[in-house]
Formats: sequence, structure tokens, C-alpha cells
Amino acid sequence: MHGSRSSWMTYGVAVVSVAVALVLSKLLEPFLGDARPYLAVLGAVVVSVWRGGWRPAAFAAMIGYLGTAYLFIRPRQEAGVPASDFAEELAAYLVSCGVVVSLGELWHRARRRAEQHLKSLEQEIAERKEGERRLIANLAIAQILAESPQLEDAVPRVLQKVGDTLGWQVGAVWIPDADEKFLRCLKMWKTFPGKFARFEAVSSGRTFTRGIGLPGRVWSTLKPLWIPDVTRDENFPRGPVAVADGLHAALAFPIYGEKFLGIMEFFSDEIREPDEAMLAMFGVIGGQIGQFIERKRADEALLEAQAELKEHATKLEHTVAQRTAKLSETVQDLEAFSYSIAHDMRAPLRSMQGFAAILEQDYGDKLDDTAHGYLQRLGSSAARMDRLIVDILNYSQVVRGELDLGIVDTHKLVLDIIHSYPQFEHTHADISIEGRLPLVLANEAALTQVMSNLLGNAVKFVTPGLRPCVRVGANPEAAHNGRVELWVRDNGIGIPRDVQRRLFNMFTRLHRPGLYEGTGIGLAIVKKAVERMGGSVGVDSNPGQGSRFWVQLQRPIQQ
Amino acid sequence: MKEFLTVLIEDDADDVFFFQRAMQKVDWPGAIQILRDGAEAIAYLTGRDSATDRRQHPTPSLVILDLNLPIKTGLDVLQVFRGCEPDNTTPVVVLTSSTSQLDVREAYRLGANCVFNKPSHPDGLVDLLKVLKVHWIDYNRHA
Repeated sequence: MHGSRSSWMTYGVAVVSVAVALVLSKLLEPFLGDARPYLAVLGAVVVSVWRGGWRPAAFAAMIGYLGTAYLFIRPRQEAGVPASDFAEELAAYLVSCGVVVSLGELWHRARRRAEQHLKSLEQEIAERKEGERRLIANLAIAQILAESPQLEDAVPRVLQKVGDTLGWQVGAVWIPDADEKFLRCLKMWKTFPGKFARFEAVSSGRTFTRGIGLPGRVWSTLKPLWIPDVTRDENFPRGPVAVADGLHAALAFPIYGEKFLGIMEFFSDEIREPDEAMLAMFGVIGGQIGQFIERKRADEALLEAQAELKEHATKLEHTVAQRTAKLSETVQDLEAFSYSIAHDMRAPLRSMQGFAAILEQDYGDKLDDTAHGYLQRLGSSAARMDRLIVDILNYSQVVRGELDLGIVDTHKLVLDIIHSYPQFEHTHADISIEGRLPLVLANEAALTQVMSNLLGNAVKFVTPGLRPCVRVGANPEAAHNGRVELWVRDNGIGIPRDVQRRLFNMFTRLHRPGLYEGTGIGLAIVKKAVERMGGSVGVDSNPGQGSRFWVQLQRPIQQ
Repeated sequence: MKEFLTVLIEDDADDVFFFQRAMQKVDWPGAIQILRDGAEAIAYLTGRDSATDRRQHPTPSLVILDLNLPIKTGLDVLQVFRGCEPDNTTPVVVLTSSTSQLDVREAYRLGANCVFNKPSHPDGLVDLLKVLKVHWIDYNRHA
């Protein structure tokens, strides 16, 4: 419409110019005579081409020719065949018009091109300036996020920076509540503290659910949104106060990292058309801020966890120290207890045995056989009690004593036991070692206790009257996982399968008192000692067919 | 020549009885002074408190010391006795019912002349005193 109107105007200009030229020519005719009747019209053509381009100029040339021909060419006031000299004039006129129109059109085109060029140059400059401002804002935000130790410090500074740099007057941050049901305003910022008070009051007092208002819409789409004029927007509940405070354009974008964290929105007091580049930038900024917040939260959680861990460690240390103190106290008590058993309990026993013996020796001739029998029972009861005490002491020694492991030559150890223990002498037992016994990793004292208990049992539990026959050996076949197996085989009474499992328990005795003397502690000591040396113990036996006890111990590391 | 004096440091009345019986059986010569706890023993051996008069409380020719004593242990007694005079050469026979090898080593370190396990049978005690008599009274040359 606008364009066609202006083109009609240029034709109007052409008509007027030609008319003016004709009038001037008419007025000046007395001075000029017949010479150059087209000259004035040529001026009109020049004006037309200058004002409207080649079309109006051609039009002007045509009507100028017709007008001149009508007004000045003889015969005047009548259309007739022109004279020959007139033909020359016409040709000159046409050529001149052609030249003028061409030149004018060329000038027009050049001017249009120059204008276009200038316009695009201006646009580019404006875009560059805009981009520079966005870049500055972006950098500033990055810097704020890097510098601000706390989220609470960072958010107001980001609002201010974005507003100041990119020309927004009001900014706000919205965050979801714990249940993610609605958004509430966390922080607001304004260029001028006194202005936009109503809008600020309404914003900070209300909430938005998903899809409602600017924050709600961004929350549901998670995309930046630009409203050129909120006062004309249908889904903008704060519209009335925006009108009252003179706010128009609005921009909002989501803050998100791994998950949605909130909305940032900005308002301007002007109507502003959407700027796609700025919207895209805010999409990126929203992600940056979100990552920053999540990193901050992770850092804080880490610090908290570290603090908690440290506290736990301190507590644990304290508890360990307390328990250790208590434990060492207990151990000391136990030592004292053992000492007291060893000395204070055994002393009266020995006295009993002593007096029984003295009575027997010094007054034996005054006692009858029954009295002798009682004295013997007194002595043997005391002796059994003494053995019990010694065994319990040995057991407690094995349970809590230090068991330093070293390389032990089991061959020599077993030979020493066979030769030095008197019980093997009285029984006239046939005891021998098969092959050569290996080196093991063990505690020599504990292993001596173990082997002498096993050998003692082997010679003890035989059918009365039978000569004990005991073999000691090692089994290389069973020596898996770095273990060495020692075994003790006897020709004894054997052990029923159903009691083999509890054989190694404390105070397990399988015979009525008197038949086989014992405290029921010996095998418990064996098991405990072997286990404390990192080994295991077991038995293969059948009643009447003897028993085979085995002990697996660690093999020493080969040098 | 001054009479041979054996000081027996033993708290257990039964053991004292067994000692006296065994000494009688082996014809243990000289006098026997019995001290019943560590503190009393230290006082006597160092000549302090009630034992300042050496005519009534002469220095011993031989000390038989039980390690397990009330108030002050046998090892305490030994340490004080050996420490009081640098040239104290009185023989000290230590008897113990403890199974601890540590006690034995400590006794020797503090200057015991010999350490024996206390026999649990009266006959054993008689045997031991026989040996001690032969060694320390019949054959030993005192300093």
C-alpha cells in the first residue's frame, strides 16, 4: 500500500514537473523563440527520474513530447506532421531523454545499493554490540559463580549483572517447594530501588503452579520464554500490577543441572521483540547456574560427610581407647586370677596331700586297712584336683597367652616328648615315628603341649592289659593350601562317631570316673592351641579300631 | 665359731610345718629362725626395727626364701637384702611354686644362689633338704 502510493506520487511529480516545464516554456517563449522547445521538458524528465526512477521519467518524457508538440510545434494548436527540422529536434530530444533516464536510473540504483549496504552495516554493528553485551553478561556470570562461595551470595549478583548488562529493570528467582508442587519467589532485584514496588510486593507474596504465569510456563516446558508485552498476555496473572508499574517485556529461563532447580525472570519497562540469540544464551546460562548450584550442594554435602566421618573416627578412637583400657584391665585381672589359682588354691591342696602322706608315713602302723584306704582316697582326690587346676591354667595360658610363631622341627619335638615324659615309661608303650616329621610354623611351647596331650591320650585310652602301640607321622598328601598334617595313630579303644564332634569341648569325658583318669580339658587345650596357631585339628576313629588324630599346621615359607 | 643359723622365710604355716618335719628328718644342724612375711624378713635381714640387736637376732648363715609372700614379695626381700651391703655373700636358696620362668630369671638376676621348685610331696621336701644340707652345710666353704 505504502509502496504503491509512493509510486503514484512519483507519477504525480512527473505530471506536475512536465506541466511546470510547459508553463515556463510558454512564458519564456517570447524570449526564446522557437529554438529548443524540448529543453524545459528535459528538465522535467530530470526531476522525474531523480524523484521516481525510470518509469515516471519515461512517462514524463512522453507527456512532455505530446505537450510540447501540441503547444509549440507548428502548426500550433493542431496535431500535424512535423517539419523536417522538427524531426532532428525530436531525435535529439529522444536521445537526451534516454541519456538522462539511464543516468538517473543508474544513480538511483547506486544510491539504493549504498543505502542497503549502510543499513546492513548498521545492523551488523548493532548485532555485534548486542553480542558483546551478552558475552560480557555471560563472562560476568561465570565470574560471579566462580567467586561466590555461597548460592545466596551468587543469585542476587547474577540478577543484577544480567539486568544491568542486558537492559532489564526487574529480576526475580523462583524455586520449587520441597514437594515440587509450586514455585515461590526466592529473591528480587530492581535497577531503581524506589520503583516497581507494587510489582515486587505481589511477586514476592505469591506462588505459581506448573503452567500458570511466566514462571509456571517455563517450569512445564523447561525452555526460555520471551513475552514482548506482559500487559497484553493472557497467561500472566500479574498483568494488572505490571500495567500499574509500567512493565512490558519479560524474559524467563529455567535453572537446571541434573534436575530442575528454579526459574530466573526479567522485566523491562519497554515493549521488546524476542531476541533469539539472547534466548539461546539464557538457555546456556540457566544450565551453567544449575551446574554451579549442584556442584556447590555436592561440595557442601561432601564437607558435611567429611566432618561427620571425622567425628565418627574421633568417637571410634575414643571408644577403642576406652575398650582397650578396659580390656587390658580385664587381662590384668585374669592374670591375677590365674596367679591366685596357681598359688593360693594349689597351696592348701598340697598341704592336704602332704598331711595325708605324713599321716601314712608317721602313723601308718597305728591304722587299719580301712583308714589306709581313706588316706589313699584323700591323696588321690587332692592329686586330681591339682591336675584339674594345672590343666585349667594351661588352657587359659593357651587362650590368652602370646603365641609367637616360629619354625619348629616337629621330629625333634616329638622325640623329646617321648624321651622326657615319665608316663610313657610306666606304660611300656611302643611309640615310634614313621618317616621324618616336617618343619612347621608354630609356637614351640604350645605345640609341645598339643603333641604331649595327644600322645598321652594315645597311651592312656587302651583296653586294660593291652600294650599301647602309637605311631606318629606326617601326611604329605593332605598338605594342601600350605598346610602340613601331623597325625597320631593308636591301638586304643576308639571313639564312637556321635561323640567325635564334642570330643574337643571343655570337660568332655567319655568314661566313668576311675577307669581312665583325666580332667576332660586336654583335647580342649589341643584344639585351642592349634587354632591359635592358625591350624585345625580332627579325628578319624571307630570303636575298637583305634583312633587317628590329625593336626594341620602352616608350612614355613621356604627360604 | 658362731652357731649355724638358717633363716626360713615362709608365710604358709603348713609349709613351715613340713619344713620343720623334713629338717628334723635330715638332722639339719644349728638354729632355725622363721620369718612369716616379707616386711618382717626385710627388717630382720637388714637389722632394722625390732632386729637391731644382733646378739638376739644374729645374721643368718643361710637364707631359704619362698617367693610368694604377703606384704613384700620374695623378690623384694632378695633385692633389699643383696642391696643393703655390697659384700653380702650369705647364700640364698629360693623356693617357688610359681611356674613362671620370669620369676626364676629375676631371682637369679637379684642374686639368688639357687632356685628350686617347692616339692609338693613331703618326701620330695625331705629329699631336697638332704641335698641342701650336703651342699651348703657339709661341703660349702662360706666366705
